[in-house]
Amino acid sequence: MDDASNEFARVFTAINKVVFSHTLTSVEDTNTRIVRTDLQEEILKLKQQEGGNISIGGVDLPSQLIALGLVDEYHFVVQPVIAGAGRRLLDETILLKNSDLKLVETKVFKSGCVALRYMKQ
Amino acid sequence: MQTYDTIVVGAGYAGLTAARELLKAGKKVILLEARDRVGGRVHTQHFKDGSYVDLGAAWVGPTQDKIYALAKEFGVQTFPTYDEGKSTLYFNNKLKHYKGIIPPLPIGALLSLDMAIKRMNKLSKTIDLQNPWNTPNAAYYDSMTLASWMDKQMSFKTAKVMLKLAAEAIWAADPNEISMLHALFYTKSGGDLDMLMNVKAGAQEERLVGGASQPALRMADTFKEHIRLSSIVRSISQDSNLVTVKGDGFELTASKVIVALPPVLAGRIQYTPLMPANREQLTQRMPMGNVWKTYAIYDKPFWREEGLNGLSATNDGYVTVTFDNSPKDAGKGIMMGFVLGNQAKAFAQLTPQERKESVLNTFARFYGEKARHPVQYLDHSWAEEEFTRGCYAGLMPTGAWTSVGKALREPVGKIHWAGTETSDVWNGYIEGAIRSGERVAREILAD
Repeated sequence: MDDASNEFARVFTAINKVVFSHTLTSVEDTNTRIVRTDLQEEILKLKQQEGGNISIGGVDLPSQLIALGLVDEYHFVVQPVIAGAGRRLLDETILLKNSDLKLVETKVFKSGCVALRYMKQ
Repeated sequence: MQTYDTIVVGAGYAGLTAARELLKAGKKVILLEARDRVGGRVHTQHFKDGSYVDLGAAWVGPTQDKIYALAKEFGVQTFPTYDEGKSTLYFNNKLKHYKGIIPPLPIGALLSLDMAIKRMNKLSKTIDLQNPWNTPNAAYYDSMTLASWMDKQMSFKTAKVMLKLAAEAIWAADPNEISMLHALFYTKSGGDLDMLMNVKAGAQEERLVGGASQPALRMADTFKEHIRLSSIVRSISQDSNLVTVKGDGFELTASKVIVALPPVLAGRIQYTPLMPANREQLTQRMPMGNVWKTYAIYDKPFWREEGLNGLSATNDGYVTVTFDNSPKDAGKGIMMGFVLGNQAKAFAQLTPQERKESVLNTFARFYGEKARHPVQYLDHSWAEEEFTRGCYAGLMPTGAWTSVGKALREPVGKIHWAGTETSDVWNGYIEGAIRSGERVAREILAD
């Protein structure tokens, strides 16, 4: 059965995934692995393998990876709305010194969203 | 000539509580009940061998302080709903047993489901419980159903199927029948969706020893001389002095009347003068949910020996959710299956034999062949009860809360309204019924 109701779900389902979880012990997907320990080691192993980019989203996990210096590129999409409440994207990212970025790509969407791609300098 | 201070119509938990509070305040009260028993949508059926099943409301859980207080006052004990061992999911022709509350589904579906639940919980926090129509964006959320919101929000079909199953179990209705504003109102009314769905730390956490009728029966016993059973109210008329309540073979007068019935039943009483337009519209537009409870009774809860907790879910067949409803001492094995929403409507078309076969098929699929051979099978449809006409409760379809919602609780002359549907907290539950009874008694005493 095709479980996807939209393009996002199709892309998400098709891609190989690694899930870092405190609660899950197994998943149903054939292309998904559960990892419960050592984030740094797991990412380094993945980076040494052949293949395309490793994408990660959210707040907790990216914060840890930024602190570990393992994030090479940042893709931000600015949405035309002031959320006003909720979790802040980089709120938990604590660095000893600033990490300088270089803008490499921008894209403006009709919806008013702007996508920004930065690389670590 | 005035006979009573207050006449209460309907001896469910709402009417019983209202009558009791007014009697405590020294008022002259009569409580009229159409059935030959009290309890309304709460009804425990007892068998010769001492076992029993709750044909209606059954569970209690944290923050339902009023029903716990009542149970304690009348010496009715509670005990935990059995949930040790693995739960069961039958989905896409596959049977899976799993530990904990996260079902074995693809990761995309799990994330989609989690996000939808969190989003509903978050949205529900914005609801004005006393006046849902005053909620920010009330008109927007009242213009869509829970199903249309799910379609818009959720990217994975499996996640939608799972949330639909949960919603059916919460409301006994299809998500396409419920206004999103009502779904959010109801969610906040009980706490959050997790509270409504869960056994541990949720609304299904415990049951009452002897059945959920026990506190009602014992409470009624303390003022039984003020209760008239088998008294069907047909009409209520009021003038500037008093209210007259007529039924088959009786005519009573009072200064006030409390109608403690679901809105759809309240709407079937003949009023003189007629109800104001918005009250009339409301009672036309608040249908009851639809549910069958099905029971198979075995000599022991054999599934427990196989490490199963009796909690199952499926989207295949009539029964979609099951619970272990065995007594506290596990002297019997009692499996309960819910037939909900649209499944309940289709189930009603079957013969009794077909219903039994289909339910036992589902139980056997979950728990093995032993499930095919109960000592006894029974099922109960609340839609076919003359003095309820559906369960669990009256629901708001789209547009109702924001147009005529105010008429739900607003007194009409000398007539005041109670019932779980009128409660801002734990709407749809026994707890909400008790709270509505207390609220309406305060209203009358303050007048």
